[in-house]
Amino acid sequence: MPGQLPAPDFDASRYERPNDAWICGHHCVGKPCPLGPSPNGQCRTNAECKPLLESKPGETKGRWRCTRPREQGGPCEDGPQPDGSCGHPVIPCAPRPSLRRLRGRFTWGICALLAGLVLLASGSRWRWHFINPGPLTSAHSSLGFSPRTHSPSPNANSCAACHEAAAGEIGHWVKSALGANPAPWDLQQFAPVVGGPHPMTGIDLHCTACHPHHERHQPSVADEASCSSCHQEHRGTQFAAPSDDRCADCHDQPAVMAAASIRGHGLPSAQFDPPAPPGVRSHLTPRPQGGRTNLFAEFWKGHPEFGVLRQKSTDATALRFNHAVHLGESVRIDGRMLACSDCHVADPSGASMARVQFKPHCQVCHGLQLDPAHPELTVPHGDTAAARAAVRSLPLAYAELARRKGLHSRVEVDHFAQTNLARLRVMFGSGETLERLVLRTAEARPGTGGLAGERRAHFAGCAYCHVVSESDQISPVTPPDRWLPAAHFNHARHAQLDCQHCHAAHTSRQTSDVLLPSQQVCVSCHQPAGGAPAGCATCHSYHLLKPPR
Amino acid sequence: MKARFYQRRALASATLLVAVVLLALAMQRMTPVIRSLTFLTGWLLLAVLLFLTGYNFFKKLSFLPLGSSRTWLQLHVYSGWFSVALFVAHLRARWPSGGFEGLLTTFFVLTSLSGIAGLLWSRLVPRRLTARGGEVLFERIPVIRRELADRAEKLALASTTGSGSAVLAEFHARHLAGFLRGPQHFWRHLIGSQRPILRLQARFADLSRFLDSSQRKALAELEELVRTKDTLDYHHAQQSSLKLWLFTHIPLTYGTLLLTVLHVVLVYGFAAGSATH
Repeated sequence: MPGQLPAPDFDASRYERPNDAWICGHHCVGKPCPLGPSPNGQCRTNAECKPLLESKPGETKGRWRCTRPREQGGPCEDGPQPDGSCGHPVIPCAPRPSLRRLRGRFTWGICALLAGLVLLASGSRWRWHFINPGPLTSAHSSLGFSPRTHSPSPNANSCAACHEAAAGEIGHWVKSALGANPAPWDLQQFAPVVGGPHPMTGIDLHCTACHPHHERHQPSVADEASCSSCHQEHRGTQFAAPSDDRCADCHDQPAVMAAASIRGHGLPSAQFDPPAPPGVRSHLTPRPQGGRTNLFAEFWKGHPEFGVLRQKSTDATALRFNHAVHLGESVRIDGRMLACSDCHVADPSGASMARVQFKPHCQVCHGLQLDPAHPELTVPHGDTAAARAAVRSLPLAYAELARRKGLHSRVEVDHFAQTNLARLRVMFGSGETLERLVLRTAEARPGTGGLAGERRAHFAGCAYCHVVSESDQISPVTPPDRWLPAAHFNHARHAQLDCQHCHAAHTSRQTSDVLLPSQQVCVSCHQPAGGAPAGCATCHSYHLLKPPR
Repeated sequence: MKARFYQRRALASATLLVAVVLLALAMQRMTPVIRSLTFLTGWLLLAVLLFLTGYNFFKKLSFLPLGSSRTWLQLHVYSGWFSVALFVAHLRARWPSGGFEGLLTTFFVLTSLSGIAGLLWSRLVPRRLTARGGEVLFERIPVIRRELADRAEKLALASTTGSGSAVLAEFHARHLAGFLRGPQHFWRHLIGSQRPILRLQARFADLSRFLDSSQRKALAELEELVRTKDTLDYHHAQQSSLKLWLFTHIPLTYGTLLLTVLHVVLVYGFAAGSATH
């Protein structure tokens, strides 16, 4: 065991002052003076004591007495000098800063260095990169953005388009911060927002300079909502989808929806129709009375049925088509029943279905052969004038066919043509009758359309599938590419499902049948229990409409 | 006493846990309702940071009935843990991608880590000192060291006078005077190594064989002084580390505060709702 620490005879009566800024210069060698340095770091000890003048009654001069404290050895033997000074002078020390003072200096030094570095960075050409909290969206960081911004000065950077503070230096930043709306000391900024959208703030007004109002959503939006409550800029190259709560701020608020309904009253319905992408046909459902102002908070809780189903819209495509027959037992290709994918193929993106086209999808079964004995002869598709011309030029067509079959003499060619024309007359009657059958007859003829024992359905005539007018014009076949233009859907993400899970095509016998799944079918998966994403932004984009010009 | 300590720690930990859970719930439930939840957590964090920074100030207000320094330390420690939770909530557990915000985050993280390291170290050092023995005020160490050195010198000189042999005086001058004059083996004491004192004790053992009984007695006293000085050096090293640790924690704290002020300026000047053109 070491000796006792400190030793029993150690004088512990000395008062330590660890919080003093200065310590005696003799402290490190273990001989600090009892008085210690002054508060401003000056040594104030030059002797071991300050002698005291004592005089007895009647004495005029008196005697100097040593006052050295007991812990310093008590009064010295020599006593003070005749002039009253101490006989044991002390060498003055150079007081040293205490550890606490050194720490304070070090701390302020670090802070000063940091402040200097920050000021340097804030005043340098890289200051915008330095204070930028994160990457901008691609639209706001493009080269085309700066010229379109309303920068307050020609030299202003594109930050100043949205941030007024960016037009000046750091002093201006402070001024902008103090003049912010809401201000830093405004407690209203923390107040809960209940019963409506979040109110506009100062920064939102910069958004509306380029994106005026909320007409890109619906012209009936009654209250301006804060752009930045949904769109968090400086969070990446794309805006993250807003949360459902932001949508519910309006769509689950009776007062807000009522105001929207009133504002939308009388506005032309066309103003509410979402535009279709170029080359895409959309089915536009008439806007309901009162607008789309149903109250709901979540897709699986109160979202209205899709408008096209709710309004019992029909498919007005000018084509006679029976899904049930095509998917039934009677129609087979290469011995197997037809599958949806035989006709419905996804577009290159996989998100949507490409249009069904006659040649790749229908013609494999629905050949256009006119004469069952010579299937090589076909009627052109898609043009009634061309079809009529083909019927009227049948003699030439047979003659050409004869040559292709190796008959070269005129007699043989004429004989071939006349024989076949005569056979056609027996089958169909006169040329006018045949022409009417090709163009106008909607009913299947005997031997037409059946596939039993044969691969192809015989040509029944244009009107078998198409709507042919009195003037022999075929109504254009323009089925909608998008049935729900206000939403987006991705077929590829649903590829693991069977088509019939959503589309009741096996029971559809009319073209007018709309084979969309109901909202409840979607909800079966798109709800928290279903596991599929069910947020508003899964299907919808806030900015539905074109920006107003 | 120990039961009370554990009771107090359990109560404080439970309070901290409840506060963190409430914070998590508030972040989850209030996000749809309060637009500026991030602002709210930010101001709350700043308030906690100011409270943490003011710890050194509050504990010195001894003239006010504000509780003991120990109570303030406990408040400082648990507020520090809560500030970490607040910081994570404020950042939504995401490391910022901006340069300035990254700098501020780095400062906060380093401040927190230095605080945690200091907390652990301040728990370890007293145990080590208690295990080693002795109780010395840090400010008195130079005086005690000087006293030990003076005693050793007197002992060596007295031995010379008494025995007529200068062996002990030479041994003192060669091996002990330097050792006793100032603090020694700082880093070795910090890690608890006893190699230096064992080496010195081996020298004492070597010398002891060549001395007579009176000199051996003086040598034993010298050895005792050396061992006491070694313990004093141990105290010096351990207590110094506690003082020097603050050279990291405090500058980082003030640096974080400084950057936080600029952060507030940037947030309100650029983001929250800066004035219109």
